[in-house]
Amino acid sequence: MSDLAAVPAAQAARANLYLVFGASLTALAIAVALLGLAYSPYAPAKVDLLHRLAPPSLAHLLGTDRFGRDVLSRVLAGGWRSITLGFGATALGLAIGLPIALLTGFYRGRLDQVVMRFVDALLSIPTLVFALLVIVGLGPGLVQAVLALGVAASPKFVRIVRSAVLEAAGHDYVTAARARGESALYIQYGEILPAVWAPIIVEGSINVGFALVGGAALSYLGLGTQPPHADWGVMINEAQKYISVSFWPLLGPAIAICASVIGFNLLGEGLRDRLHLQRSLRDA
Amino acid sequence: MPDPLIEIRNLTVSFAVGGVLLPAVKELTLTLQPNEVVGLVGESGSGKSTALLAVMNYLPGNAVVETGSIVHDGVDLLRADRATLDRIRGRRIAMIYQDPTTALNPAMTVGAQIAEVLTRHLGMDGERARGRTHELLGLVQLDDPPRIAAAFAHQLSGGMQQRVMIAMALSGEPDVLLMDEPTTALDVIVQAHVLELVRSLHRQIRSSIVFVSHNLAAVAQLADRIGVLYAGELMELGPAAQVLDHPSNPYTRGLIAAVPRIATRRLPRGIPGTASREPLRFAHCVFLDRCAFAADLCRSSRPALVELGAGGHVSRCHFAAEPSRIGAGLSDLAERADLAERADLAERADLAERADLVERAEPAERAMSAAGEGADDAAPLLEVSGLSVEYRRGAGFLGLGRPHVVRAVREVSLRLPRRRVLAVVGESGSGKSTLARALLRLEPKTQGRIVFEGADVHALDAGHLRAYRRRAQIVFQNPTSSLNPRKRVADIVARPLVLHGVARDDRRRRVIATLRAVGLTEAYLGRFPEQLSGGEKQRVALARAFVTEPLLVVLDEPTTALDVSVQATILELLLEQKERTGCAYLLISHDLAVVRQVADQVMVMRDGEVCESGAAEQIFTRPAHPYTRELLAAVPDLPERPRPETPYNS
Repeated sequence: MSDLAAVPAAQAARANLYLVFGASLTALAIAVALLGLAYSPYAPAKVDLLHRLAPPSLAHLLGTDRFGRDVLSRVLAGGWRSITLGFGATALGLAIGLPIALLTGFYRGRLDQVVMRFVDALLSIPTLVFALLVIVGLGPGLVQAVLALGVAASPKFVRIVRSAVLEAAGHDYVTAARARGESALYIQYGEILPAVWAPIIVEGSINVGFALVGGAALSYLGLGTQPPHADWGVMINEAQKYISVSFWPLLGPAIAICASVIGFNLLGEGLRDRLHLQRSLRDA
Repeated sequence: MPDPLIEIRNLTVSFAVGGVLLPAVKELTLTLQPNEVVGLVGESGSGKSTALLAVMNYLPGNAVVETGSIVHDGVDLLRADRATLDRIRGRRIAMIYQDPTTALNPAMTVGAQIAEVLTRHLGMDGERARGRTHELLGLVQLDDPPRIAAAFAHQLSGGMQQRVMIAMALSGEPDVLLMDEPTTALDVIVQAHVLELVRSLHRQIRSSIVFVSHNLAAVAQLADRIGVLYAGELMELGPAAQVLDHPSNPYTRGLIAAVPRIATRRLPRGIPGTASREPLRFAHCVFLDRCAFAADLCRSSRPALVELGAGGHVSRCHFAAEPSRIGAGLSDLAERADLAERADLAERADLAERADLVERAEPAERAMSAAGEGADDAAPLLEVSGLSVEYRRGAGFLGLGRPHVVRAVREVSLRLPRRRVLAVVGESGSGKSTLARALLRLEPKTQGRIVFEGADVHALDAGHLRAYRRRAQIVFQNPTSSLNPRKRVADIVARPLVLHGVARDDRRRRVIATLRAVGLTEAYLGRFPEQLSGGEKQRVALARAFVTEPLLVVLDEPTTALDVSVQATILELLLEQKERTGCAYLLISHDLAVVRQVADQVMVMRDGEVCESGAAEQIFTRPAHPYTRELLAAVPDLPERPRPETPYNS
């Protein structure tokens, strides 16, 4: 019965708490982004010079910015760009990182040594600096920001997924697959990939949060979404210049970014704890 | 009788899982007398480890002690405060765990770890602690204590690590040693040495021992009294001789019959079914589902412990006092089937032995066929000559460093005729697993030839290699590792057929037929491996191997990771499958008792080389090589006594 004994109840409760909070916040952020596509109280670009930098009121729940544009409308309308940045960059990072991780983790040997030293070199560059380097080549813009952040995230995925692949590849079911004559491609994608989904999902959801912040930073630097289009990073960029006059325009996008990043991170942590618990139950 | 050292009274421990309390130990009453060895036997999940953890008060957070007390020297360990426990644990009661590799700190020398106990708990100064550490390492019969003390855990073998753990446990000079499967993770020879050590230590330092194992033969080596646990309940308890000679519980009888005996070639008998993990609550006998002698009474009421004579022999069975009732109810249908099967097996064993005689009688003819004189029946399925496998280790980055070459297999030759079982025997590191993998072309060979059905395996083109992969399969030691946790049983078993282009309808039919043949049903098709017990997982692994109707199956320690009772059923199944499909086995094992039951020929390996090989009977009755004799002597066996006549072993 020691297998049952291995479940620390407190850890299970914490995993559940994280999952519930993380999933709720994540769902909220996605809902805001989707709602913004269909509805906003005012046109996000509608200028009202009589009500510039206004504090929250019934007419403008989150106040107005320096051109008198409704902050709530802009948070709603810009949401999809920020969220897309997070998901898009993560998807791209995985699309690049997964095949490399499977290849090096499966074949090991010299290929692995060469590729991983290269990956280590890339990992030593801070993600945002790496993304900036890519932007230098591609020029500013939302799509370019997704590409830059995706490429910048891929070395981390290679590193994390490869270690899971190494672990999975050491199992006898992989030897059994080789013994019955499966192709290397099937073993990588048919046997190993399903077994390493857990860390991929965990790291993926945490990375969505990172990429979201990274995207906001790029937009803040004027390298992501281009004005007059809004996203949360652009809004913070514009608002911080007037912070000494009014911090209200800053508050809306800042809360939006914080909430979604915390949401994705908690979701990832909760998933990790949950999957880890299941694993320790299974292994016992 | 003197006061007991430890008195467990009416102990019930449950685990809170998903809001439900699952009992792990139920109403256990057990005493440990001074200078006594009590052996606790049971399958995994029987609650034996939980009982030990309760004595240490090391129960995990979700464990609930529902009733009972554990008294040591006037203190109830379950209710003692932290300070009291700190005085008792390690000093008065010490525990030794199954896996020494996880119990030792990898970052400290083993000497420092033992000395730490001595300085912190016994208040010794550094110099005295070092001296005492060396004494303790000498006590557990490790040569050159100063050298061992300066070593890190990973520099020691498994057996040496377990000795270090024992030395550490002895450092506080405890009255009571609790040993949780201390030899299960070890090779047979190492296990024998550790058992011998425990026996001599017991004589020397006279502490009392509780020895827990799933292997009755190991427990029988040491125990004064034996307790048998099943699903958390004490099924039988009594003096070792009584329990072994006159087992009075169907479960104990099952366990005894499940132990493979090195002395005879007679297949051990498994206990059908698996232990229930449902929260059974005392409504009926816990062994009901698996008992061949269950009567109405067993369904309607839970048996109490029945006293049998004066020696303290008790058994939890309604019919404990009527041994004939649990040994000779011939009307039972299942039992008749059982007897028929038994006769069948005996006949098979007979045939195999006769074949051995023929083989020995005709060496000249066999030599001729080996030289390639026509293809008679004796043409081997697999013939290996001069096979060597080398690894290059430590070559460094991009292989630029200077590697040292490890010769895992050296110049091995063997012949495996069709429908026969060749056992390759040796300890870990003997090269037997590397040999097995090389035969399946999973390792690059360095030298030699592997000929399967007349064709050199390493010269096969892609198409013929595919055919070879279909005809040669492998079954692994660890059933959990050999099944992909994300795949359903149906997909796992069907995959080889998909690979070899079998049509969908045909596939389903063959998958179900194969599952049936290994004793599973269609109900398992949709399950994931984590929903299966160890024995069921191994059955699925067997089904995957047999579904392509292979001619050669390599069995790499197929029962080592399983409980003894499950091991017996898997061995039976393997012989059945051999008869059904006509395949040959290459059985890799370190357990000679298992090998004895199934092998036609035996090859003993050590350090990559063959020490001895020949017909099984010859190896077991007239071993020529000293290493073979050592291996044979190491197998723990039940003491040789007249065995009770039960349908399990008659």
